[in-house]
Amino acid sequence: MPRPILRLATRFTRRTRATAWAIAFACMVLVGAMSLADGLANGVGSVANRIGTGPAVYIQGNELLASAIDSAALSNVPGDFVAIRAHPAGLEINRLTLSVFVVALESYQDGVGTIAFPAGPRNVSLDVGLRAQIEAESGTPVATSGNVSLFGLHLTDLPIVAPPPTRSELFPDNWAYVRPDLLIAMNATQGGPVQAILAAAPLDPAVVASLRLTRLETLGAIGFVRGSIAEVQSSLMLLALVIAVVIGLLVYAAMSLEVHARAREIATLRSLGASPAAVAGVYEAQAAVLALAGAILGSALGIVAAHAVVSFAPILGLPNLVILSPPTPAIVLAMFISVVAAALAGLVPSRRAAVLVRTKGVVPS
Amino acid sequence: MPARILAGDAYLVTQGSGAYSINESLAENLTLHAGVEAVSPEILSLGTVRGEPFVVRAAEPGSFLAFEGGEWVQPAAVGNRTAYAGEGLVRRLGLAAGDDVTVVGSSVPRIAFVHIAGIYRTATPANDELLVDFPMGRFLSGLGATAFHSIRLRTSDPAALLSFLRGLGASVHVSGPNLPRADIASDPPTDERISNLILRSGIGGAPRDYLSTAVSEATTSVAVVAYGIAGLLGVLVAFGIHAAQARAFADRAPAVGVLRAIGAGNRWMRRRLFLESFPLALGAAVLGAGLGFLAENWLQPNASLVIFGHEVLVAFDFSTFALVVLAVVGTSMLSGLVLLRGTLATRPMESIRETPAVESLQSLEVVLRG
Repeated sequence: MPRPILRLATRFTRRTRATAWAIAFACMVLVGAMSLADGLANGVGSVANRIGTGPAVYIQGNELLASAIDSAALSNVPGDFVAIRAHPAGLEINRLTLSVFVVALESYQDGVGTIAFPAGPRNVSLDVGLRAQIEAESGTPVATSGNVSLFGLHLTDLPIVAPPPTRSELFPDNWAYVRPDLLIAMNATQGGPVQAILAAAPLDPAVVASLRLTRLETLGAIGFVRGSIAEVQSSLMLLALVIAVVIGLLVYAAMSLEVHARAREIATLRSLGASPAAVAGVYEAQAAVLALAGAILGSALGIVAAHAVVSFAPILGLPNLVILSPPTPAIVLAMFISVVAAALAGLVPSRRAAVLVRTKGVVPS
Repeated sequence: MPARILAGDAYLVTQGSGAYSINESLAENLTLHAGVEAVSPEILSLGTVRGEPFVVRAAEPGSFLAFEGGEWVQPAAVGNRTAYAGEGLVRRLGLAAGDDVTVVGSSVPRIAFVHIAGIYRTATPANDELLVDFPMGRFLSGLGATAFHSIRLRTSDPAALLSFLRGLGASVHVSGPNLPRADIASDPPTDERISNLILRSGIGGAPRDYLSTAVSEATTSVAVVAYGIAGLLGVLVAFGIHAAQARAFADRAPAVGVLRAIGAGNRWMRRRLFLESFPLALGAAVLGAGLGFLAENWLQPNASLVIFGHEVLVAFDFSTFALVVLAVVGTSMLSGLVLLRGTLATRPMESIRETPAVESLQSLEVVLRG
């Protein structure tokens, strides 16, 4: 853009200065709010990272029972881990029909899988809690055989065997255990894939990425707080949208008045040879410049305000887990929405400026 | 955890600093106590379902619904190791009765599956929770075989309740409607800010039993963010009011000059400003706050705010409404006084003289020449 035109675009009047301040306050709210929310996420993350979360459990998707990890790929996973298959099923035993969860465990060491229990291919091992429930509801000792309904199939007269000799502290005591082979034999499509991988230590990130795994946070309080902060952060996107609309309206009002007040000046520019596009460019650029100036000022104010809130919170008796960091994403977002909203809102006034002479016949005095 | 989730509108008994007392024995004793009308021992676990945060509450369904004033949407027979989902949770996570979901431990690592047997509805935050039986609650929370986290109860005689608990020697904190927290055989709760400071400045790992403190810190720290955002929005609104009034005041400056020229004093001018501005500010504040409330009602549940697994319910709170109105009216009055002071500092003759409302534009030729 030619230098004189640029100078016109960047020339602020009292009205445009006031608009820039208004944009700055709007951006201050956005940057300050996002800084505080991000700071809380930092604080929570800092605490969560220092608390041991126990064994690492990986699944595909966000629901273990709906997860389906290709079992053929497990031999390529380094280290020791346990592959878990789990499905809801129906159990008929002691003249009771119960909804149970059937689980099959397969231990992997250096890519080789072994199945420790139950021993027999059709055996069903009922854990102690499930046994207690059956005995309490039926009033008789657990029978030596039962029927299992799974994947739409009904297997009868399956041997019921003793509880598993050991159980991870992660698992409850009311599962029924079978061998993975039984699940695969019943339905290779549904019973073949593994629902979860349980490892003592986190898996190699490359393996996690290649199998499209996500880590299931088994220490729920940490996942709960992390998820809750993420909800707060996502809610602030709505605030960003509202602020974009506010900025758009501010710029539209300011530029409309500006074009109206400068009608004579626009006519002079046209008579000096400026094209309609150049005139429109002046006002479009002015809208963008004042939005950008407001965003820069607002970002600085937002950072100061966020630090002030965090500093004063303990004085007011509020516990404070907010650890502020440079709010780069918030600043980028504030600048982006300011410039985009201003550019869009400035389109109509700048077009009005471009056609002003032709439509209204305004001439310089 | 916020008191409303823990206690609702009932009295709440929680563990004190002494020996563990919130157990089946205490619940039975409270049930038998003549002054107590209803008792609901409960266990709360924090977790995630399908990646979304939510609260699992272990309680007896009948007592729980009585305390929450809830009802069954899809009733189910009370069975072992089954769960009942609140309608809000069902809507948020796309669940249905008959679904099986994975739940995880709260402060101990755990994995369990539950079968959603029924759906309930309450008009309280409990509408976003999952209700399970006590064995499942204890498994998820790591509590002992007879322990609970808290006991909710209704009584018409809280003083008798306190003396009964003192007689039992239980180490508990008791709080509830119109009852300041009472610490029975217990020290006051520890100030978590101290442990927080230690953690923030410390190096190395933290023990897992710090988790409950950390969760409490995190939940209450949301207040810092919420108050901070409210403060920032307040500043924005205050400057908006001032800007609008400044614009309006600029047009009235000659009128102020005329009034002063014919003998109006400063006090009279201030009173006049108050009489003219106050009704408008009050009307605008009531209208704005009312429109905000109606808009939030209209947007729910599609644009509801979910914090810590609970949908923020829209309820008309007169004190909050009055506070917002008061703040807006106060800001408007203060802004008006500041603007009037500036106008009063100008001589009446200068106020009356017609001057451009905006500063004159710079000469185009000067700009073009650089």
